[in-house]
Amino acid sequence: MSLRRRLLAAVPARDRSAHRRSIDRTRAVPAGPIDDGATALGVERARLLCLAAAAGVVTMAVTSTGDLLVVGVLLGLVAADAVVGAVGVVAGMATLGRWSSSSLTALAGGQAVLGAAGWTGSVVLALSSWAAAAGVILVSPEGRPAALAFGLVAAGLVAGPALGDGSGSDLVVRIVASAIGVAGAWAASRAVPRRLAKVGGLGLAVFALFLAIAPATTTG
Amino acid sequence: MTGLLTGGQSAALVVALGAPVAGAIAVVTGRLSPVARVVQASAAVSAAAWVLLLCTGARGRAAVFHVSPLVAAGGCGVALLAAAALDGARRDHRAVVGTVLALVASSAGLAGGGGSGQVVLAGAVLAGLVVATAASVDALPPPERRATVLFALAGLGAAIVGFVLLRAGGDGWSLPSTGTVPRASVVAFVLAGAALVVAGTLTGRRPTAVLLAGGLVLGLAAGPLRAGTDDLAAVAIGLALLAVAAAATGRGATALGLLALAGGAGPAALVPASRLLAAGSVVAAAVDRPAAWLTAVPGAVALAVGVVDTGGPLATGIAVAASLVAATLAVRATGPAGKKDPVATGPDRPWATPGIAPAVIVGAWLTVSPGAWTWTGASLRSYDRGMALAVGAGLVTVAAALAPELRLLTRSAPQQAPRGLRRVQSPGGPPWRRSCWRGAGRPPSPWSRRTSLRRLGRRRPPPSR
Repeated sequence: MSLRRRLLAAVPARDRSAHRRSIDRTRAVPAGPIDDGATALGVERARLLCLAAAAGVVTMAVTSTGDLLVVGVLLGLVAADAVVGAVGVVAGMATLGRWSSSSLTALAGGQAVLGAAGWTGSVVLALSSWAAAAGVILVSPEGRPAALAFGLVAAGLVAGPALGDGSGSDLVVRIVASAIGVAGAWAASRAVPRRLAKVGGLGLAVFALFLAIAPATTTG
Repeated sequence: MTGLLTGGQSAALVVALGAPVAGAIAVVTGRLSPVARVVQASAAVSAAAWVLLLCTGARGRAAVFHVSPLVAAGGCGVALLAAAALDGARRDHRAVVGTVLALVASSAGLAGGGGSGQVVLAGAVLAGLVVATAASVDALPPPERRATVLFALAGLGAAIVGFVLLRAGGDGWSLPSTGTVPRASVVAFVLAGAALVVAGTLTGRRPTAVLLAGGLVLGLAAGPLRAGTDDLAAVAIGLALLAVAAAATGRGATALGLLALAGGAGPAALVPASRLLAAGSVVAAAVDRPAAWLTAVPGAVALAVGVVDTGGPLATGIAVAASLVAATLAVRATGPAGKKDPVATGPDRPWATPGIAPAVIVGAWLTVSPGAWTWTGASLRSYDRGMALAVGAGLVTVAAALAPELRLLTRSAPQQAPRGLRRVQSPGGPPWRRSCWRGAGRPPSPWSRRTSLRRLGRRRPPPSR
């Protein structure tokens, strides 16, 4: 059973007719009853997979360990959506283009030394970081684990200095940015229509990538 | 100049080459039954031995056979693909014989043609590939045979041309690991690899899949020889475009294999990424499920890092093609059912399928810890650390979510029974079964006693006391 079909079964009954209509138009799910025991077990497994991916992303973001492109792929798994995964990966590529490394450790270390990415360096590069973070926040799906994962990743892109030197200001910056990011992701998942969020998020991520590589292209 | 293998490495090489031969003997004599399982077991043992050689960094010779990291990786890939091929849809005696012959010939050909270090000798490699092609193509059903034969013959022909050009250039019949090699010869080898990759992945999990590993070894041995120049730029871009086309038609393993060859023919910084992509391609072909395309993630990450390191239009072009391949495969994997991969016909539980389980293990290792694959030359330390943390956190979360007492931690999980399920509390049995969901709500069977009584208009008899 496909992940899409499992997640369709997870939709509340009152919303299911609309979801069914939209998905039936693409012939994703054959008509017929879907709420049998096997489907429900599949839903549980799919939820567990999404939850595990969210836990992985949160751990990587909090400890600033891992690779941003992998985080992007995991964000796609959290949302069970290829477009969301693409937004995460493109946002990671934008950061890679700016910092020349996709390592979260290098990103946090760079921000600890040079200053937060959101207000350090040229305006174009700072704008690139903000656009990448906004794209990630915008595509956050509903649910507290997802909001936590997407919000923390977005906060790390804009203001995620490493805490290794024990600087109090870095800690404050990071906590405040994380709180704002998580709240923003939670609000965006409820307020913005899903289709609009995905289109907007992808556009912002591509814009961020363009801004990140444009200076290098023009100077090189 | 390379030395001799150590005693342990020589023993591993004997096992790697001897296990397929033992499987072939079992098939011929028919002593052990079922023969398909015997061949799968021999292939799994061979794959394990090749992995051991890879992990120990074996580089040297024993008798007439040679081992280098690329040869060991190729041998492991051949064994994994052969084991998986026997779990395919059609498994008759001809398929078993074809698979075991292809396995023996490919392994012996790669090891015999490994030469000193990375050198590829003409005779053994060609002989192995020809025998493997003949045996495996013969095992294919007629409708699938024509295109596979066409691509396999094209690949073998291009390889022969490559060796002839090499000989004409004065380098003898062996492809050296370094030094100046005629451009035309390298182009012929890379194209031969591409044709063999297509032939091996055209029909999903079939005996011809072993050609995929052979083609990747040939292409990745030759391509990096001109990595310092832009001589192969056109070939690399062409292969990258072919990879995009293959992804658009849902052929993930083909796309990854062609992308690996494109990276190998590109700048030197992309060579480690191309090796990782090649490994991902082999695993994807063996598992044959869209989820296996995730094994390309390490290669994609290494490719992105390599592109940032080296820059330039060729690397950027390959990176753009890789992005298109990734996006296309992701959309196909999660998109509507009617547009999914036409050849992804693997079982729903590949880890529980004997022939595919070894490939699943290797794929999991590749995805979680590619930094341990030192032979590829990729430096993915941050990837390894982050993935280890993520996997650990994910496992802990799943364990917490599955424990009924800790369900408060996952409020988003349904507090009421999912539709179609009911909570079952049973004091006996193992701890994880004492409180679980069981299926319910299915319509009663028309053959049940209760339904029969209702149809007949009778009341249910009172329970006996």
